[in-house]
Amino acid sequence: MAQNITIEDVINTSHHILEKSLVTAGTYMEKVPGGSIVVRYIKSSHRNDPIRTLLELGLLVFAIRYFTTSRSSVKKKGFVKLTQAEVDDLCEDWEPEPLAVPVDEREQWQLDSIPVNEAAIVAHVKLQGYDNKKMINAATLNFLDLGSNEYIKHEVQKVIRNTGVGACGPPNFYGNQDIHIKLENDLAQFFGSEGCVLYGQDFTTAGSVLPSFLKRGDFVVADANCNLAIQKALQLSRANVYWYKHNDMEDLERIMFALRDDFFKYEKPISRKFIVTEGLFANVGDYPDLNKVIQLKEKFKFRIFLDESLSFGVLGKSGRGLPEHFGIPRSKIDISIASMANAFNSSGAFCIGDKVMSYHQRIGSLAYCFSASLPPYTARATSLALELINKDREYGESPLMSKLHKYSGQLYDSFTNDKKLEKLVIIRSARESSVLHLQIHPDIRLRLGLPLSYTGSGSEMEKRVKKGYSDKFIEALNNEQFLLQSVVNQCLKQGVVVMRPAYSWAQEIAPLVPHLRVSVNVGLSEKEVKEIHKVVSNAIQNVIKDITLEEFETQLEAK
Amino acid sequence: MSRVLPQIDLSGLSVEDKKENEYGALTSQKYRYTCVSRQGKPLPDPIEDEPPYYVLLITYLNYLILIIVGHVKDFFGIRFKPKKYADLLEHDGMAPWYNKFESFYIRRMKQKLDDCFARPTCGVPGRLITCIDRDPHDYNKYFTYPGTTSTCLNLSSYNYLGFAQSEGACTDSAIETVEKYGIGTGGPRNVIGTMQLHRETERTIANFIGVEDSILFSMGYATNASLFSSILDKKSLIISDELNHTSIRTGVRLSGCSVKTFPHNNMDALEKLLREQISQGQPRSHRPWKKIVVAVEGLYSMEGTMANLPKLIELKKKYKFYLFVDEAHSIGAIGPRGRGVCDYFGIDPKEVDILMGTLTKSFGAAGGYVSGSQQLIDRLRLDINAQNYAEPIAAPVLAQILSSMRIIMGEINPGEGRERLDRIAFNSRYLRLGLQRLGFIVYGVDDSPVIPLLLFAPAKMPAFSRMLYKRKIAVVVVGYPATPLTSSRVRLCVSSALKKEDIDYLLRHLSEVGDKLFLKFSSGVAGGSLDGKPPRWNIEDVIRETPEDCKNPKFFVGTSATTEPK
Repeated sequence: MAQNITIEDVINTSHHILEKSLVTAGTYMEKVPGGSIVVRYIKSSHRNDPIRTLLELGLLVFAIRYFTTSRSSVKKKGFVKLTQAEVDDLCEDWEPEPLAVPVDEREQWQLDSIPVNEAAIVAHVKLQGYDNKKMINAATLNFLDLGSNEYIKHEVQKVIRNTGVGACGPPNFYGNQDIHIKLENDLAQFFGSEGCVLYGQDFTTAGSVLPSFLKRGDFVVADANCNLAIQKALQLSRANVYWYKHNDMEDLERIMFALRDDFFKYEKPISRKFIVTEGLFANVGDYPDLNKVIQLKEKFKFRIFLDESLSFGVLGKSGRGLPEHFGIPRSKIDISIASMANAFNSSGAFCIGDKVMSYHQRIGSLAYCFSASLPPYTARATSLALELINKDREYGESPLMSKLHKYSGQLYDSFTNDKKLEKLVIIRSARESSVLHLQIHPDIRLRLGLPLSYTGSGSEMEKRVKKGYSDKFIEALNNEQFLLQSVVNQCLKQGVVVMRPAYSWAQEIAPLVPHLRVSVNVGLSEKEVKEIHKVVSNAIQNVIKDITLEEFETQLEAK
Repeated sequence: MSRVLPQIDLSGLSVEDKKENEYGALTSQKYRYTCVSRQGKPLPDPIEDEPPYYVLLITYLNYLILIIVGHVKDFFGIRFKPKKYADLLEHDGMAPWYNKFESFYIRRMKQKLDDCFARPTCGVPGRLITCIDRDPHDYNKYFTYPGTTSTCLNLSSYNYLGFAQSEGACTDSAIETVEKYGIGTGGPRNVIGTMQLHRETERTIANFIGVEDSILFSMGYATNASLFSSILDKKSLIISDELNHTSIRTGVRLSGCSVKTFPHNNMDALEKLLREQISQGQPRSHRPWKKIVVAVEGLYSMEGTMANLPKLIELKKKYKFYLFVDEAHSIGAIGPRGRGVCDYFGIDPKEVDILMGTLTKSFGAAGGYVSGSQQLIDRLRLDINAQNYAEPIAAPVLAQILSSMRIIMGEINPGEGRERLDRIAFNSRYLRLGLQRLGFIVYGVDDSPVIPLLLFAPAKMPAFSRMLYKRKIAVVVVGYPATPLTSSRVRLCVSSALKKEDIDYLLRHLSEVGDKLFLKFSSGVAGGSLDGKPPRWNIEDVIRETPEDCKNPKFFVGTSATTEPK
């Protein structure tokens, strides 16, 4: 009993205090316009249910406290409480790792072997350290040899005389000139699409286009051998990514079936879905079965994103890329991007597709909005390249393209029919590709104790990256690259420039091994294309044919 | 009238007129100012002027109306005019390209002021810029082109030192280079695309900045977007200024490292964060971070503020982090010798671990660079993805970089570089002080060639841009999301190519427009006032007094505390 009375007492006294303070607060409040209404409301609610006033007051205090404490302090749950002196101590003790791992002597040759050109990079080049000799360029991606074209050079000089070099501003802020917009129209017309957007550099284009249409919760099914630009793009987009086996349409279909059953059936609203693949794969040199891809896309309601950096100006009778090769209209491909620095011998990249998509990019695509326009002269150079490809076309066939196709076929045939190379290298590139990728034969790699791939799932590199090791030097990788460099060096001595494509190994998630890259361009003569095969074939035989594990290792130690 | 943009032929102009339009001749030696090195002294905290409350209220009201009307229109539009809104709706089982919410701002605001953005131009974006006229239709759904042009005073291009020219040493050199090296590159740098000219330019840049080596990229944005993946991993931490450029954010996200941000230029907050992070280490495991990089920009292109480099170096010595400075806007444009913020503050560039910059702006070229110690650059040459996969920077662009840099260093046309540097310093200070005296709120450091003039209410952006375009002045207006919601602004980019008379012209028109649009509401705390009262000078007084006054630090509030008048 006694207890009850005390509680009542407490409540009563608190009521008194509360009432008093409320009355004083009320008189002040009434002076504020509209305040009397608030006061009346509080009074009536207090009269009906005094406990409620307390409860509401408590809630108010809690709300104020909740909103005033910063969000970061809530997150600091896992923090260890330290005194000022301890923090000082820890700060003094902390020693960071070096900013960059120094290039050690085992890798130094990689830096030294980067070729330096002394003149224009066209069908024939002059390299530093090769006595001013004119060499056959079988490493270039400038397949149409537009770099040697005097007409383009002359026109470009005229443009520079009119507009200067740089555009000095992003496209949205006075950076787009009449020349840029003409190129956008020219490209759209060339490919028969509604819109076209120009970008300043090829490598960043995918990473800017894809994330502007893919957000968390969207779906992507991508080829496992896609190039690094696409891998980075998908990483940025935060979409759900599923990789299908390289060019394996059955695997693609299997994944799409599974996705439909697991997710798509129930979703509302519908998410955005993309199939991501390349026109000609930068890492392999082959192309997907576009008919099948389009069939699947239509069946499962996906969109297609196609990176045609190596297939524009290469595939198709008039160089219009993979869809032309398959006889499919461009409108079936929702987004295509391509570099203008390869076959078109200019700079930058572009993205084509329908009007709505193009418009959205002009505000939603980061590399478009936040970086300067291309130098105007490069836009003119690409416009001229399109003009030249279109020139003298008969029955839809461009003479420039037919020459390239002839050379590509010739190069492919000479390598694949070469019996001496049969056991030494494998070629997965397509016959239509102007670039051949020569990979050391798996049997030899097995004999030398080299892994199936250096990157991708299950590889040593993946482990190192996952665990956050700073040192990403892999002995075997360095050695295999050096072996291929010996082939390259032998070819260089014979006057043929072939290349070992460079990779940022630690960033790749596609399964890769080093390989050689041999390309053709229309600036060469038929004889020179034969010469390329002869020289490269000999060099490969010299270096790889009888190599044993001991030899491999001693050779490398000597470097 | 045509919907296709006409190609404009500018060849009718005489060479003298063309030169004058690209780079105005200096009318008097009085209109020069050599920027003073701060010799290691930090800048005082900038004072940010606040507008009156009712201005903020109006700004919020602007957005509120925009949002309410927009949503109501969307709601009824989708139900009653589905054809017009087809882009937002699912069709044929496919999701729209973007959803209603994502694109709300674009459709409801940006599109309504599309006529102020992406104005097509032609010719050189120099002192004057030739814009191609266009008539908007159906709320900027499409444009038609009458075929006429307007030649406007150019306050919009990043042409700080006036190297956007089609006559002169740089252009001649670029044209010559086309002959020798062509325009294409044929493959990535590490494969086949390296030319002697690349190496030469890299050495010149390193020499210009005062570090061991540098490495070139064909795009400024891509430089940052690819850099961080090569030096940071998930056991590293990056501490980034909250206002850092999107390219830095993209690069950092790609690298997969942990990110913390600190309030813009707030060095106390940075120190607190550093102490906390070093002592706590990585989350959960509490292991120490492998390395910590602090990323700042030399000159913030939307604010006109500079990184507090002296303080950062002091903190760096104490806490052993690595410092990354993005000099996209400051290289060439800032400092007594045009060598960027290190030059401005009188700090040895070797103290900064990574100096990144772009070549688009002060040098009138394109692309970007990263410079630093030999060890760092050698590693980047092998590892960075832009070297292995991306197109190299082209030869004419390299020629432009080389020749413009040599002009600044005085190796070509001695005296020309000095004049360019003095003119941008004078022009920036004159315009800034002039605007402050007229009563505008401007942000930034007194020597910054980027001068943001605050508009606040979003509706004033198109009004301002259109009024100035009619008066033959090309400006850039920026609003949300590039700036905070309430501080829509005009960004004036000053150039050496402008004459003093051009700035007089600009000030006169800005003053008039400012009166009409009710933009003069500075309180005087951030400069322009001598007696503490809000400055509202008469335009004639401003033009008479300011060209001399702007050379005297005592008239600038932001820096007078620590700099003695010369």
